[in-house]
Amino acid sequence: MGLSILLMILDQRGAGLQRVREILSVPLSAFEYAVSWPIHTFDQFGNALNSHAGLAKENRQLKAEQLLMKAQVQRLLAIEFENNQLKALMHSSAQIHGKVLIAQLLAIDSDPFVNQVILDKGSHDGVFIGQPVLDADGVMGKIIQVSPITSRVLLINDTHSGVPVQNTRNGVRAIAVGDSYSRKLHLVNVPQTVDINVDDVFVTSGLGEHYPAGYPVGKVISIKRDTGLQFAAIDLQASARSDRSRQVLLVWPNQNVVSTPIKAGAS
Amino acid sequence: MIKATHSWWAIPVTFLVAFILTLLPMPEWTVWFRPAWLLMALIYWSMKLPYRVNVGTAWMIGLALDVLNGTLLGEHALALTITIYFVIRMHTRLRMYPLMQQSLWVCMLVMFYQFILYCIQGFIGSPPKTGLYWAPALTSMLLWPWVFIIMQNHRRRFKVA
Repeated sequence: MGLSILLMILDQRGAGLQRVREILSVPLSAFEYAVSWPIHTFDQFGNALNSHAGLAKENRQLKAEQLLMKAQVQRLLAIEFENNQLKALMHSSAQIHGKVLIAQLLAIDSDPFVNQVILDKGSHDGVFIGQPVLDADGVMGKIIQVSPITSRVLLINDTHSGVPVQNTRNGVRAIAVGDSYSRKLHLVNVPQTVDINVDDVFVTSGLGEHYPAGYPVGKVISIKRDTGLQFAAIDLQASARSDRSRQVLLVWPNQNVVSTPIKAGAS
Repeated sequence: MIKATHSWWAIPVTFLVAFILTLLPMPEWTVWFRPAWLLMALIYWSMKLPYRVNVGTAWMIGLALDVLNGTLLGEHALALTITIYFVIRMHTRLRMYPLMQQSLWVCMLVMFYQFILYCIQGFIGSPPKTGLYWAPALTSMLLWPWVFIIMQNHRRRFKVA
């Protein structure tokens, strides 16, 4: 009992228990796979049994979507090219492209207290602690623990997560902190008078050097300006579908900036 | 008749199943209703065989649960240890009770277990904000008679003593 209290205190202080957790999670990660495997298999069976009509329809839809995407990508390529040129002109060394890797979520439920998910990629694939995780719609979270074959992601709507964000409309910066219960994000310490409206989109600002800049984080859904309080209460709906997406992107952002974690990932 | 085999794995296998049930993905709305499977398995074994499944077992299982769940290391370990201590203190009484009365006790024990977790979560600053937090006590109570009967069958089939 005393030992568990000691463990809890140490873990809360963040004192070197990371290593213990990692060692313990090595045998347990095999177990995570074991739980997740039948669920994935059932899903695959379900897909195999999908009717022809359904598949044909989906195919048509996807083709239409792909066409749209291609058109958009072409435009983006042009813009990116132009952007690179301008950056080169300004002698900026920032890289636009980072290495990416697609990972699958393991079908594991966590404690309702914690908003974390487990991925099927680990230190074998070069995943490192602090690495940003994205899905198709936006930022999802970052890696907080790696074992050889799995890794654990702290979602942005967890209470312990904070993301530096920036308003796309006017560049106002803030920090978005999660709320595990409502699954929303709050902007903290924002003065009453700041220019933020409902439906404003916030993207990562790149400050803090954890998340790459410019990825969507969330949309403002409510603002309460209570004159009795010092700060405005602003709620964001996260753009990433952390409850739905099965596949996520692991990003190796600007490799010059985050130098120490890369070393850990490479070993 | 074949002689009873020494099936050492009969107890671990129940814990394995309990772990799987704890981690199994469920629909979103059931998230607060998941029964305390591991605690129920621990209560059964420590009530029947307190000399084989004891406080130490509870601690190790709790630690594994903490790692798998990503909660504060030692949180579930502490809660399970204290609860199982009380179960072992009164295991002779618990054995004698009829099933319904046992269920009520399980409800109390799960609530106690949840209470310890609640306190710890409060200490680290993220206590649950919904009354549904206490629902596992009820679901565990309702499921206890079935769990008990299944475990009893399992124990007798593999002659665990």
